[in-house]
Amino acid sequence: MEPEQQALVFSVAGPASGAIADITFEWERAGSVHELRLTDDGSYPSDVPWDGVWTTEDAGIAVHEVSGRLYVTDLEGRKAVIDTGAVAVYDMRHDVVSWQLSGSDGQYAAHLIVAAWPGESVLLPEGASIYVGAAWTGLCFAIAAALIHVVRREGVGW
Amino acid sequence: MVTLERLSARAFALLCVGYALLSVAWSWPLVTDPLGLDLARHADSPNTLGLAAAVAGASNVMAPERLAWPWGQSLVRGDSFVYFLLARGLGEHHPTLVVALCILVGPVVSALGAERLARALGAGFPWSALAGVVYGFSGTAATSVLEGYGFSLLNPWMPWMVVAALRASGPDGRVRDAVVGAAMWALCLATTAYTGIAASMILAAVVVGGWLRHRRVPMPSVLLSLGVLLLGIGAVAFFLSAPQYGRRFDPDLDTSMAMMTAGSASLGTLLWRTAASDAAVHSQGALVSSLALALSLLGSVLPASPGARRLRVTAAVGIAISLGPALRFTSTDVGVPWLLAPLARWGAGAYFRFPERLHTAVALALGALAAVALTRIAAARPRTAAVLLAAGVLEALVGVGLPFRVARGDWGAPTAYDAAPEGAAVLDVWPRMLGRNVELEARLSRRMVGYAAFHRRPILSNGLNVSAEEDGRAPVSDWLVLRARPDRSAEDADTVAQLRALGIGAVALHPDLYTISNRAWLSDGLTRLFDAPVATSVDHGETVTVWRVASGLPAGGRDDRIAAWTLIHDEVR
Repeated sequence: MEPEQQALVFSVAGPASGAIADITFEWERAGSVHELRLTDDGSYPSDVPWDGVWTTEDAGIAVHEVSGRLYVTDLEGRKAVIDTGAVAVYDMRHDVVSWQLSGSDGQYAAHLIVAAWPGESVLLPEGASIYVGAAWTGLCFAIAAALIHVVRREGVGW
Repeated sequence: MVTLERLSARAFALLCVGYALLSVAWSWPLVTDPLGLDLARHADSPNTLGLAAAVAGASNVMAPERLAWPWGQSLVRGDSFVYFLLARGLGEHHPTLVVALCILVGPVVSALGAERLARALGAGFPWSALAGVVYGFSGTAATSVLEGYGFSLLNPWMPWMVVAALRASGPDGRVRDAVVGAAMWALCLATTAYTGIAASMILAAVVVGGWLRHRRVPMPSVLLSLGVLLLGIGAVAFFLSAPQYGRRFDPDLDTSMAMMTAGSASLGTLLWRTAASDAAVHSQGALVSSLALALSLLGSVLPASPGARRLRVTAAVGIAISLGPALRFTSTDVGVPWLLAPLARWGAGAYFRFPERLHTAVALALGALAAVALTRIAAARPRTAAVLLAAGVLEALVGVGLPFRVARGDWGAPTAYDAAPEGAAVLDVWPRMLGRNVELEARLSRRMVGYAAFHRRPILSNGLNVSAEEDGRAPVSDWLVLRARPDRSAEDADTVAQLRALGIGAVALHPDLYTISNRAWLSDGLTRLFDAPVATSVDHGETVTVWRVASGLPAGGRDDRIAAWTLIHDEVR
């Protein structure tokens, strides 16, 4: 059987100040070592250049877990491991693995997040979902109220 | 009095076709490959599959020997006996058939049940169909698919129970209604414990509300209450009969609170959903239909149907309780203490982890009430009512939005398992997951349970465990890794003998999760113990390497194998 192909997007939300020189992720996909260089120069199709979100994509044999190390190199050339371990991947066709950086001056830590967006705007798409949902609920109540008013006025339905 | 407008054969056929088409669209793309696709986003679907397959092929149905080797998986704590029965009936010819049937056919059957309840409340066809859409294709049902508990979708019992309870608690109640109501309640409980709790809530509202409404206590409603009470006592006694290894651990109070909080609804995703709810938590989103809520609330100003107020109370109480021990806007908020806080502080978090599952009853109540309101609206504005019915379908498809939320996994097991001897157990070995990776331990364990449905060898993982502490595989794996170290080579013969006494026929290493250096010495050690590996595969999402320990199941019974496990456990723990 031909192994399933899977596209994995790796993204790291860091400072937009340009304080980071390089971000790499080293992992093994089904026994072969992949060293990925993340970019923030707009070379990845959906990337906004220099916004602090570093991105890359890696396609290959589908995996259930991504086990590897995330490195950050600062402007002085100091390279440090800022996260290590395994991450569950939920979709065997495509999935996103994202981290949020915290700290500064070469002292960074990373934690896994749902998706990487610049700074505080990480919550914008979440907020948008709620606004659209609230609008739908409001519309439902408005229509139902109008119709029930009609039903009562016309004295029909019972 | 509860009267039920009879449906013509044509109307019934239309309903079946309509719900079936909605089910195909709602669970898309499952219908394109029903036996090969896994739609779940979270870790439990392999467990669900593996348990069904183990039950289907077991000689001892209540303790399938394929899981939790060498004891056999105690099913006393099992989630769904309806599902187990269905799996047993379908056999193990294709293990994923039962899962696909539950997801594709379950909502259709459940929707038909809810539609019937709506007619019992006074809704007319086709407006009664809205109840089925709201109940069968609810946010809670979507959560079940995404979490991997597709069997929850097959639940016509709750609406049938409510119809019977409405009759039993009315002036014209019959003994037959009481018997049917109690039997349906038992089937709810046998579907899942949470469905049983939700059914108890709606049943209490209907029966007690009936007593208050009619100012009398009809004998059938008393019989129904007594029947449910006796069945409930029996269920608790059955649960407590589980052997110690088959029971859930008792958490400390902080853990109890955290467990219940994680399984509770949040205000921000009660009516809507966000991407984060699928990626980070339990896919709890769009639990309440906005359309059904609006119609049922505003419909309260119209003349009431018998039972409507009781269902409205059920919905209100269900929503309030589902918010759990803390009232939060999003799942990451700290929140303020809420109704279930005392229960969580009392330590009940491990036993009532998912208050949000009460929304099964909420969806049923709101769906039926909305269908009644829609019927009244249709009398004045039939075209607008038709648009609202279509909006209900659209809300199920886009608002609940299951097709946009599913993951796509492939069922199956790595082919290397085929090299393991049949009949004997396989010991899966992966690294200990610590810190933020600790959740992977349970995830991996569940995946092995799913693999066992296909390779059909016994494994040591527990199919109902929720933590590494409850898993019988981990101690044996830890012990073998220690024995594989270069400085333990003097004990090689004893290591092999102990594994064979335990009934292990093969060791399956999952090397992708090890660092390169650890993988090298561990592979060398296993080769030293068992000779060269007999198979390596890179498929189904990972590398698996298999070493053969024995050619088949050695002599000795279950007790001998349990003694061998205990010896290993005592050495490593």
